[in-house]
Amino acid sequence: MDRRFKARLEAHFEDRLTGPVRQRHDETEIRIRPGDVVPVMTELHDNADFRFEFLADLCGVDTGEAMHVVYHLWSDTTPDWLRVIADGLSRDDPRAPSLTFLWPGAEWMEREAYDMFGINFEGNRDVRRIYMPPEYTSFPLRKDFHLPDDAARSPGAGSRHMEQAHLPTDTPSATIRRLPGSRQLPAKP
Amino acid sequence: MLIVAGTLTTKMAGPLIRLWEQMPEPKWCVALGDCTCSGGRYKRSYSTVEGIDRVMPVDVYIPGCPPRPEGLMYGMMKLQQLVKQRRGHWPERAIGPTVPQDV
Amino acid sequence: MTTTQRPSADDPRILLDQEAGVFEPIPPYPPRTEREAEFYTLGDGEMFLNMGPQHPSTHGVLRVVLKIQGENVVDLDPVLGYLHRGVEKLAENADYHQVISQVDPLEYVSSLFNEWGAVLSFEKLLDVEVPRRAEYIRVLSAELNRIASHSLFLGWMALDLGGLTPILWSFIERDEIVEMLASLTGQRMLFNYFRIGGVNGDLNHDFMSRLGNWMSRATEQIEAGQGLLNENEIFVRRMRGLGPIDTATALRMCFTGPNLRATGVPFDIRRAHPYSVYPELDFDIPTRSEGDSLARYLLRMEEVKQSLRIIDQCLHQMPDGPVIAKLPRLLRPRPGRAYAAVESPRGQYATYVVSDGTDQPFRMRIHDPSYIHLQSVGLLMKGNLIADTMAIMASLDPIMGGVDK
Repeated sequence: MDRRFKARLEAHFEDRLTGPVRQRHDETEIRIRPGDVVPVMTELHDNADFRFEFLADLCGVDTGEAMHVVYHLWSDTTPDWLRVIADGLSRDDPRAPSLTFLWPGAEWMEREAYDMFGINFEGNRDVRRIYMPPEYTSFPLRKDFHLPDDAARSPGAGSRHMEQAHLPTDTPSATIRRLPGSRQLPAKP
Repeated sequence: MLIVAGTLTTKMAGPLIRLWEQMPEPKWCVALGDCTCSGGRYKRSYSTVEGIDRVMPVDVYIPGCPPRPEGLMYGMMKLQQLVKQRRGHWPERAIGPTVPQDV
Repeated sequence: MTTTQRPSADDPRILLDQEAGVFEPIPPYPPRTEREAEFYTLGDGEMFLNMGPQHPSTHGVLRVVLKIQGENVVDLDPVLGYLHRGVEKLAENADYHQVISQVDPLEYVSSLFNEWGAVLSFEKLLDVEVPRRAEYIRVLSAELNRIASHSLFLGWMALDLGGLTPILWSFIERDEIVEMLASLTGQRMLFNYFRIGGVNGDLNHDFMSRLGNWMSRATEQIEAGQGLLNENEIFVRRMRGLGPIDTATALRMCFTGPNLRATGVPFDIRRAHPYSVYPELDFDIPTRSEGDSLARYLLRMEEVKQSLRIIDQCLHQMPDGPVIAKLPRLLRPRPGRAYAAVESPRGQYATYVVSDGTDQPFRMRIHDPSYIHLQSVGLLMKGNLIADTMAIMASLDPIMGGVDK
């Protein structure tokens, strides 16, 4: 946990952060808007205080309300990993700027985020499906894409919330014991 | 003899069937590993085919994740027995899990 | 054979190709992206060659469409997804304990590193302290797995160039290591050994006797295996200068692991961002500066020697104590995020887990090194012969289970 690093981040990016800088174990996390990704990343890459030349990971996250793009960076100026979360992408038409101008190796990571979530990266020359066949129309890792689950259709469907994803309509609700704090998933249409 | 090892996905199913059809007869198919026998631990995934016997006739199933080398050798010996039995006649083989008559 | 109604493209039932005809490399739809348009337009004297998903040396089911002019490859487009099993989606439906066995078959040659990456991120999320004996056992078994993986790399590398002997020798070596790990973990591959908070079982007599026996012969055996190729003129002349990459490009292509260290950057996660008990162990980070295939190969062989050093130190410094921390069966971490990276034989294997307070991960992202390295094959291939495609791909050491997840 590098306190001075946190201070440096707050000093440089105070107007671009949409939330506090969080630190836990050896990770520092900042949140920015998708429109600020390009200037923030360029600053982190080029500035001599930061020198984040290594992009460790780029992924998408679907929170159910919004989509995020999460970047992980590493630099030898700090012992912490830096996590940059670009949050606030809409779930209907998620768009984010591409980092391929800075790291050409992000091309396939963005392709995978497109394939799994539908996030369009502007500036990436090659946003097309990478895992699923080209005619596939859904985005598998979105929260509204449900896996077919045969356990829920059996009479012995239990109380795990995975098994509640497709409730047979004639199951009395008294037999289903919900764990405290389990999420109520919508019934499959 | 075609040994299919590793998970069969929906994208790979087409090329696999094409490969099977390109093979000249007499041909045999061995399903190696849990994923090819029944879908295995990826049975509930959106892109896995639950066992290659949904798309091609299988002669020997070798379960295990991963299958033991002794299992593979036993499967090969079973295949040798099958070859001896079927020499001379080639029955119609069904696609789908089938139970041989002398089990 | 006619179909009455074709299921939609998203239907999990397979869309069978009714005219089982020729596998056209050019897709039957207009190009959707700039890069696709650029690739699928033929210049003067060029043609497409499809190295199909079923191929003896594509390291698994990988399809590569080559654009060739004569014998030289002008460009190439890898098509992935033939082994995509949806592990990230399945992980959202499994317990934290169950996810560990789900990530095993990703890089199936070095499964312990897959488990380590997952377990490390869960331990960060749950603030679990792993007992020291468990950490030493983890390092010991993981370094054994690294040696096994690099032996396989040696054999595969030679096989892709046409040599049939080294793979048999490296499989003999790998067989011994894998039998050792089987006596420790119960399986020869896909070990399912690491648990959140420790490992599944303590060292036993069978494992220690096999390990002692192997260690006494290890150095000579490894030297013999490497001696087949290190000074072999055909091997060296084919590999030297093949697929060179310089440091700046490697960093921009997000290379990690031996591929990056072969270009001169001494970046090893065990030293740059230490985890487990690596700070207490004494080992060097081999680095080379040429950046070509020969450097990548020789670097991995040197890493095997460093792994032997680490195993030796682990055996001498092994403390006593429990091998797993006591954790409840139902694990509910508080909502948060954790990222953990380990140095697998291929590079940085990382897991990013998002928890929402329930007993199943909300999002489990697996970052695989082979996936990143495969995208630079096109960059390294320009102007080389078709036969060199396989050599370059083998020198980057991809495992398709990891690439396709």
